[in-house]
Amino acid sequence: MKCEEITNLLSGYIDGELDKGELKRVEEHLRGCPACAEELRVLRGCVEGIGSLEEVEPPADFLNRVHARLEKKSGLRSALGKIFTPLPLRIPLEALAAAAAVILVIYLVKTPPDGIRDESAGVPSAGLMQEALDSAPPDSGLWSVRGISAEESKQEVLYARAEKAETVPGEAAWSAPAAPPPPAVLELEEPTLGQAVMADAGPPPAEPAVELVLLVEPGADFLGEAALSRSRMKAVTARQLEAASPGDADEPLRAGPPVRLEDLVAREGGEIVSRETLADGTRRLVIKLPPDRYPPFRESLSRISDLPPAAPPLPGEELETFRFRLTSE
Amino acid sequence: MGKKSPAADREAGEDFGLVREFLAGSEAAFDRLVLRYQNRVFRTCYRMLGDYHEADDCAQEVFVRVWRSLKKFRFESSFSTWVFRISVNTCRNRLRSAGYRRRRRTLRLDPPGEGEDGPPSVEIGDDSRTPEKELARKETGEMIQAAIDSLPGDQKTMVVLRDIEGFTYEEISDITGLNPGTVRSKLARARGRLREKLSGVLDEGG
Repeated sequence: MKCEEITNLLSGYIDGELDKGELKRVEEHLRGCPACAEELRVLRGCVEGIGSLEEVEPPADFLNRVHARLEKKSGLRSALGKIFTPLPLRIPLEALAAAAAVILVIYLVKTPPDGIRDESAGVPSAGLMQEALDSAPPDSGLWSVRGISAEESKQEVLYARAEKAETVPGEAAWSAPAAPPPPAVLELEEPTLGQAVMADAGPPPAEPAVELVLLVEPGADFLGEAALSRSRMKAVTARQLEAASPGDADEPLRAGPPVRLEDLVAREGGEIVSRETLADGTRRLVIKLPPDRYPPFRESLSRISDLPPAAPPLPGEELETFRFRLTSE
Repeated sequence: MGKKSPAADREAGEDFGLVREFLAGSEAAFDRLVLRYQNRVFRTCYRMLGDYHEADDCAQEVFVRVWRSLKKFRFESSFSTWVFRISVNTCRNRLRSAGYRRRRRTLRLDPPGEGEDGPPSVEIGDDSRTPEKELARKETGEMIQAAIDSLPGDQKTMVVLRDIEGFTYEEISDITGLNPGTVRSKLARARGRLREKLSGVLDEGG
């Protein structure tokens, strides 16, 4: 066996994690190869050095801080019904009225191919969706998007039925690529989510499908506007970045055609398998994708939001928590 | 591999008992779970993020998530595995966040003063810790942490879970969802990188 093959096994050798055949080969090789024996010694020293790093401990009042945070967040959640009131004063009232606060939590879990969870009970009724549509300001542009045909607009766009678009003035502000920035610079609070859904830590079953979950906080109307134009979305998120950190904004904004979440999902051979409204009003959307289509899907998402390009995800990993606000100006 | 010790089994049973108490409404049970895990979770966050204050904030977030997610705990994996899954995911989310990267850049440009942003030294009654040895130890620790910081996320996770937290490959597999073979190869690559970066720092110590 070559030295290179042996050195690849040394890490497992140190941990006693080689199978019998590998163990035998490594030990035989080490007896006759001083260079690999030296490599083993150095690697072991390195592992031991890492293991003997100085202890660090949390602050003495750590538990109190956890409680303080829990209380703060529970207070925040109860205030979500009044979601617009705590916003900074820099947003004009008319923008506030049309603002949508959105938090998407995307995470992957692996489920058997037919392992869709029973969520049918939570699917919002047509009446509920109608109510959501009715609550959108008539000129908010929430339900209409330039470039989408009447036929297309009949497709459900997340929680909303887009036929509502017929009642909305045609041109949507969302899709104007060269639109001037709105007067409001929208500010973000620290993401507070991740709490509503968390993958349990059971081992993933074989033959997985990838499931993504989007969560939308109560009060958010954004998901009626899945057909955000790419440029519009980019504009919003880039402005946020800029507001948060001058000079840290993304690349210059580019105009692009409207992008709809459903289209992105369909293009990758996936489907939106369920929609539900949780007890606290959070809306939850589950998307299933073939595992190998997650990276291109994620790539597409990264083009319409401030998500960084995908790193290969870990199954069960809560991938992202990101948050943005939109206004119709 | 992965055979658990009786002590580990007992601890896992105690964890389950506390989780059940919490689910029955006992906040004190949650506090006990925090106290049992806060040091390990904090240490994991610190080694993953390389910054004391980030680790503090992140570890708090982990337990907030634990609180909120416990009602979904199905007793199919150990609580330890489950809480470390949340910890690793929370750290990885943070590592990818623009805010974290910005703060890290700022930190590099503006290193903290003595005792300001670094971890407070843990006082241990150890007479062998002369100032010279302490300094050398601190410097070595900083170099090791810098080397860990430079690893890609997956590899960093492997090193922290195995070499710092002492999880078995099987447990790491449970935590990350990767199969044990992948855990082994990722860990080997991570250690190979660290060995390159740390040669000359640690190689006399074998």
